[in-house]
Amino acid sequence: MRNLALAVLVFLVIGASANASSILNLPASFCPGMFPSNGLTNGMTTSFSAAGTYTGLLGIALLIVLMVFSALGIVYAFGYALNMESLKAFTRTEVPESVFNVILICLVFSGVAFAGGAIAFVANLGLVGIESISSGSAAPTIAPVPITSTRDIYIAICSSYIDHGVNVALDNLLTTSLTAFTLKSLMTFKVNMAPSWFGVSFQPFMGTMPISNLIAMQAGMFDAMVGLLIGVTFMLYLIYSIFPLFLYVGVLLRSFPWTRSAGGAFIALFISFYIIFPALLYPFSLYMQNVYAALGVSTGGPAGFSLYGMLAAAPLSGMAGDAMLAEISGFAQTVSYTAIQFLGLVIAFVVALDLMGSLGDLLGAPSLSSGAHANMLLKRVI
Amino acid sequence: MIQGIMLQTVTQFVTSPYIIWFPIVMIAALAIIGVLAMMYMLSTFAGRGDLRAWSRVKIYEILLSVVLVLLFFALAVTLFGFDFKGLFGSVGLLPTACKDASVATDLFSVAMCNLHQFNNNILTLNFMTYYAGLSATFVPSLKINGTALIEHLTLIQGIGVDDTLVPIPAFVNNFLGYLIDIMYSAYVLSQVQLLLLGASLLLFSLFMAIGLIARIFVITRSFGGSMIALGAGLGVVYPLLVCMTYGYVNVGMDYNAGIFVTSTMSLAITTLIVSMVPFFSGAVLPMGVAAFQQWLSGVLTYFGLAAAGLLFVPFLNFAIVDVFVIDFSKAIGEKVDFMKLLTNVI
Repeated sequence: MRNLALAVLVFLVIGASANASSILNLPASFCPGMFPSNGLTNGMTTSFSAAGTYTGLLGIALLIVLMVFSALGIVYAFGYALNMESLKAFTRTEVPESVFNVILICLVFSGVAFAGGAIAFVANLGLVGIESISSGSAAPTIAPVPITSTRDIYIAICSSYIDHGVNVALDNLLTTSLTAFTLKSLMTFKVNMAPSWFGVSFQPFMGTMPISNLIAMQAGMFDAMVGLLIGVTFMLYLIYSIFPLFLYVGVLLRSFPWTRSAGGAFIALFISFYIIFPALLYPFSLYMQNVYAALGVSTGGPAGFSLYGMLAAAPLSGMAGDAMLAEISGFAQTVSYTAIQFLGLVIAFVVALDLMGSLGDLLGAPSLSSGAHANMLLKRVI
Repeated sequence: MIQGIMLQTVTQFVTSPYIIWFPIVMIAALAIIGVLAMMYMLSTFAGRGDLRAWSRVKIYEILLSVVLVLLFFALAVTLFGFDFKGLFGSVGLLPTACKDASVATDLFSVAMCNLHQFNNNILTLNFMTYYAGLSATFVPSLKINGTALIEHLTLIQGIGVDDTLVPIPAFVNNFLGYLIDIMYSAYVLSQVQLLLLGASLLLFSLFMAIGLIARIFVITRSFGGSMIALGAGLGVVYPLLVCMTYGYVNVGMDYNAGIFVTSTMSLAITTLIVSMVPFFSGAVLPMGVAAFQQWLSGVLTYFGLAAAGLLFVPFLNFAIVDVFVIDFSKAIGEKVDFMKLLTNVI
């Protein structure tokens, strides 16, 4: 029996030296697989919408306008041959609309190119700002990603979220679990001083309960962070995969008088959510990781919180000293970490929705106007 | 016999609506053209130039309506005859379950299969989450009873130290509980979608038939336009959106389910739990780092797609259909905002 008890203790102490955090990360291929340039990668596909490059989108959109021009040409030919003035008048009215479509497409893609430069500029501003508020000597370890295609910006946001958000939260979740385990074990530690079962018994570490509660709350925050960042990443995946279709459908529907307003609505949705929404999220995601890089915030590792760490170092003073302060500090960092991202998400949504309303007005789509129910629905969802 | 014919007509109205409403619309159009032609003749005899001009304009409008009917007839034939299964399958947007030969190739069948498959995936995920929580509770706590040990060795009672090592923190199970709650709550919306989608074929048949017939008559023209917009929105745009959005979600879920819903599932869950237990970590790691990361990636991707499909996609689909119906109905008839009620409810 004694041998068995000793064997268990030895097993506990040896095993505690291991550090499992290095495996609790998502692989580096996660984001490139999430936003494939084309075809099926990690089960994700964009081949239906041809998303990936602005050039691809531009080509398809212009092809649709060309088809509409051809159809209008045929209608005009019929009108001329049959001497039907109404058909000719219809064609004359519709040709300028298609020309407007071409101008609109050019404006959209010029805007995209401009947005790429603007994003990099804003991101650099953020980086400089963070450097100035820190010691000033910290070199930026995370440079803004040059935006040359749609895919770049989506992958850049995903990488920020996954590498600096989800993976960090998963590491911290492991640390938190280890700390919770250590605290729980300490809390149940009981000393019995009762010969013949008459005397006193006491649990000296039961006072760590507030910290234990804090740990549980912190674990909930890590869960929320993983959920939020993963959720937004997959929302971006759907926007990336599906919304280019709205551009094609929008251009096609805008070419006919009956469906012109519906087409305008689709184009407004595309511009607001496919271009502007990620463009607004990107600086926030970059700013977040720059905060961590420039201020040199360390999230620590689980070794210090393991049973081995507790036993090898100062098990009792450790919980009351540095480890506890690190835990509280880590909690505050986690909250701010999640809050900044949430703030960025809310701002990006509000701006994108307001822009969608304005574009809806501009393109003659009453459904998207400010105060319209579709607009209100999206706002309420968010 | 009449009852049988009526029943057959009603069934056909739902399964192949254009076969029924196309002749009805054409008969109505011809009847009205006949009436207008008589008015035209009478106006000639009566010497009423204004009535003659009005009749002529109305006949042109009816002919235009007939063209519209022909266009929608072509759309209906396309919807029922086109191989949507092949189309979505060729671009990798068809989940494995919908590739089965028993699933028809029309738009409605493919959309129903997609949403049904997604709901099945959510139920599986709920079961998996529950299974993970259940597995966690099977990890035993280790109780060190020093008092009993001293008593056993020295025969002195009531002196010693006790401790209990609880390897799985309570928040793990709390979190899994919240997850199941959220998923089941959001699953209701998914079921509502399934019901709406199940009715989309009927809505398409009904609204389109009413709309096309009503659009022929002068006084009900704007009402007819609204019905056409509603029929096109709920009967065509909505199933198409479901095929696309849930196609993306389902295919991703299929692929990632293959990673973690396999024979290694229980092994992987054990690894995850064990890695959270400090005194076992490193000592017992059944899977390699790369395999574990791939598994974790599969799990989080599966959960992420489930979250997107439960929370983001339904609202996106509803909003897009609403946008289409509002704008299209305003262009060809009275403005219809069917989501107004739902918006207020939300």
